[in-house]
Amino acid sequence: MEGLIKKALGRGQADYIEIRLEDKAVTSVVYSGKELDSAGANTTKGGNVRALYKGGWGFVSFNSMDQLEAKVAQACQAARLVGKGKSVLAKVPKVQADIRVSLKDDPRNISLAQKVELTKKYNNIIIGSKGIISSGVRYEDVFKKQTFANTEGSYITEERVYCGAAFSAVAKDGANVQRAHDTVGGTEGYHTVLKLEKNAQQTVRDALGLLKAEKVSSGKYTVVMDPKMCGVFAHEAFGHLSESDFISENAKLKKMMTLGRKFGTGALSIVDDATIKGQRGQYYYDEEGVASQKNFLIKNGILVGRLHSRQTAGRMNEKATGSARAINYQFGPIVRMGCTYIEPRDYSFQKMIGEIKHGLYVVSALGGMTELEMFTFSAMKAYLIKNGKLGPMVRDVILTGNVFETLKNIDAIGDDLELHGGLGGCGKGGQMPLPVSDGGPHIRVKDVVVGGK
Amino acid sequence: MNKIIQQILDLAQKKAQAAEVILVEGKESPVEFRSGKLHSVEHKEIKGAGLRVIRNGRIGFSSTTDFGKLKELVDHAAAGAAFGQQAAFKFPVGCKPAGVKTADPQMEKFTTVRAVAEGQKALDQLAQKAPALKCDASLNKRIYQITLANSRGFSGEYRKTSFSYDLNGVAVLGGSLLQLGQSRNSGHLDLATAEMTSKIAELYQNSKRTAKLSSGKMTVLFTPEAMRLLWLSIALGVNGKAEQKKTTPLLGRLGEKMLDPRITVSDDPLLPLGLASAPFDDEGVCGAKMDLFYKGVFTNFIYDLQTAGLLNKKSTGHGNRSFSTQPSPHVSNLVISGGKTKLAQIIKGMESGLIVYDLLGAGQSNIMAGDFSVNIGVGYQVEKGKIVGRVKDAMVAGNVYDILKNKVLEISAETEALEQNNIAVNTPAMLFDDMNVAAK
Repeated sequence: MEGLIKKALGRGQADYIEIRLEDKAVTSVVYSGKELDSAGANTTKGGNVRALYKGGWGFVSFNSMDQLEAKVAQACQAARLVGKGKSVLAKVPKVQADIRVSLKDDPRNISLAQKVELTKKYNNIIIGSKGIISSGVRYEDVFKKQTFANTEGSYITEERVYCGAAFSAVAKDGANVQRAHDTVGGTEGYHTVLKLEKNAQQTVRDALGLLKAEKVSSGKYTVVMDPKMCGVFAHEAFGHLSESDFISENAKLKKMMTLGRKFGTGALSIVDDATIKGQRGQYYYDEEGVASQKNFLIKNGILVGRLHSRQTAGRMNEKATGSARAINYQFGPIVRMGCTYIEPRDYSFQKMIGEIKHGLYVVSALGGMTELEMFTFSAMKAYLIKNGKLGPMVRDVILTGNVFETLKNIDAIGDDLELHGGLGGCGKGGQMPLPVSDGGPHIRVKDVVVGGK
Repeated sequence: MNKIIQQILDLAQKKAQAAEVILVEGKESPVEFRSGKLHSVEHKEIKGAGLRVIRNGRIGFSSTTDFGKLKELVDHAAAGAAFGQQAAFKFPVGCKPAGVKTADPQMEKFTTVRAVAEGQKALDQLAQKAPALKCDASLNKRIYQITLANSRGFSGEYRKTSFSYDLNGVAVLGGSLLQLGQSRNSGHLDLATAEMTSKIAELYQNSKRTAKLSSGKMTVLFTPEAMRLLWLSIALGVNGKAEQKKTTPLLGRLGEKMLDPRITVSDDPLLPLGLASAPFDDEGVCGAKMDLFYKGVFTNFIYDLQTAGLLNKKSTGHGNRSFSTQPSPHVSNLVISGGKTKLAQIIKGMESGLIVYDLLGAGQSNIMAGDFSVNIGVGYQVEKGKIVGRVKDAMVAGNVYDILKNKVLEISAETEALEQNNIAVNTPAMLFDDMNVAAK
């Protein structure tokens, strides 16, 4: 194949051309309620050619590898329709690499029967619990092998294995219906999904707990975010603003995101690091053949960096950051995050809570929305904090605010650090779900607006 | 029969008692303009196969796009069958496919260069008609070949074309963001450029004044665009799977008057060049036009083979899927009968109320139950038959089954073919009485 790829690249007529081929196998087991919904495996083989001509991209994707040269020609032709300016790509090293997965417990070596058995066990814990009317458990493993080659002479093969599980529970008491969920996932192997009984049990406890929880009263609170909510905040509220394709398309955002601007206390650092082994958001090379790296976005309270593709880096005269990613061969790479988190500091959780007279401890996010600097997140659950102690659970907690003000209002950063992947992922530009991780320590934020009753 | 399909069926029958293969081959050519400039030109070729087997009475499924690994495909499907549902059906032997037009020959000749030129033309027109708007455009032509065969002898294929065309404009008006759009989704090459740009310009003109709205009950005209939200609930409600799982509010209501007697809702897979038209469904069952509600009376659920089997019914030809998923019931083209009054006449007759076009946040409510509470993205206040200004920061709420039964004042004579959430509808506009509107 290498010979064919190189030959096809050599025939193209454009400023820059790349070819990316992908082999993928997905095995999944899904229980919903008492029934096994589906169990099985699917395979995919596909590829794409992307060509750059006078600043315009042409893109062709396909399943059949026949006539690669014709596909290169088609991509170049498409680029010629679009290109009207100048091609600028940040310079990056030429890479020759062959990265193979070697895991002690590769999920591909586990039988489907074992995976079904495991999923059923977790599902039984949930659906067999009193007060629970519906359950959902999903197991999934993905094996992906990607080959990347470009006209600058890079040739990279990289294998990735993802494995994870997701739980949901629905509890009902009269007209009161409450849901809870949890998900776990990473790139370390099959043991990621073993011994998750406690996650299934916790999901049940959360759903039942929410039945008894009161709705939170709206108002301003001092809020302690758990590492999951902290991660969602770092990724959704701040991380997306660091993606240079957004920045270059939006003059207002460009002004807001001036490097050197002060964003928080000297203790605040936010990082995107796709090199952390085992994380769902880990990879060696991005979909432009650029090595992943640890990128500081905020360091000691100052905005120091942002995420780039080769084109955005070239246009802004900055360095490529290895952040050009695509969910699969049917899409061209766009600027994305890998593993985004707030760095831990020295505050203990007890001290953080102990100093609060009246506040909220919010745990895990259900979802959220952002519009530029404004964010709205809904917590899965929360606990009232009264006079330095955790109180009863409350529900329907919705946090809203301006990301820059919120960053300034972080007044304590915990000494713990947790990163989460799970089975979901990030969505952008029609590409969903992209495997990412996020996290952080517990953090405390003053004056957070909480919507509720 | 197609060689690949024959090969898969032969391999599968060594491992299972019955098998069915769907082969999907397609080409899509999306062209996209952003902020008035050509942004991207792409070509996507898709070729994939899905295999469903019945082995020892249970269903197994797998899919692939790697045609060098057909043995693996069969092994995966057979392995999955060990855990699959009990098959409540047999693959159909065959039916006589109706002659329905599913491919527009014009589409084959519509090149990317022409798509780029058409998009540019639209943007030029918008620049002239509504210069304050920053505009995006996208055109996508799709040409697919669908082939289906099973081990009981059914074999069929057809060519299917579809075309989507979107124009969107954004402007900051009166201190807030205004987003206006027009979409066409159809089986034929629907190059309604002039019509779409004029409509956007008209909406923009109407948006220049902001109406002062106070909360309360009022008459609201749902344009065909806005009506899509209501049909989404109906499409979920009539789904046989929701009957089987007992989640639909239509459970046990066959023969009951559920909607206004002026409303007839049909499902028509044989609509010429309809977005969801096909000579047979994705399981090889031939469908035909069928009333779901006749003069307001609920008459039919829709089924695929498995759901019908579980309920001791017959498939209505609504098995729907891509090559990579198992079939489940899905409506084809929903066709809602038009009324007697012209739309312009209905507006003229409105003493006071709202016209709504774009509704945001459709996913936030309990769609199955029919509840909705949505922001009005694009909507206008009407006084004495005339549009007086744009409505900002307002919500409209209600229940689909309630308003379609009890609150219909008028149904427009004109209908429009539209799509949302993968549901193709041909719908009139409707004027509803006594709707809850909340202004912020």
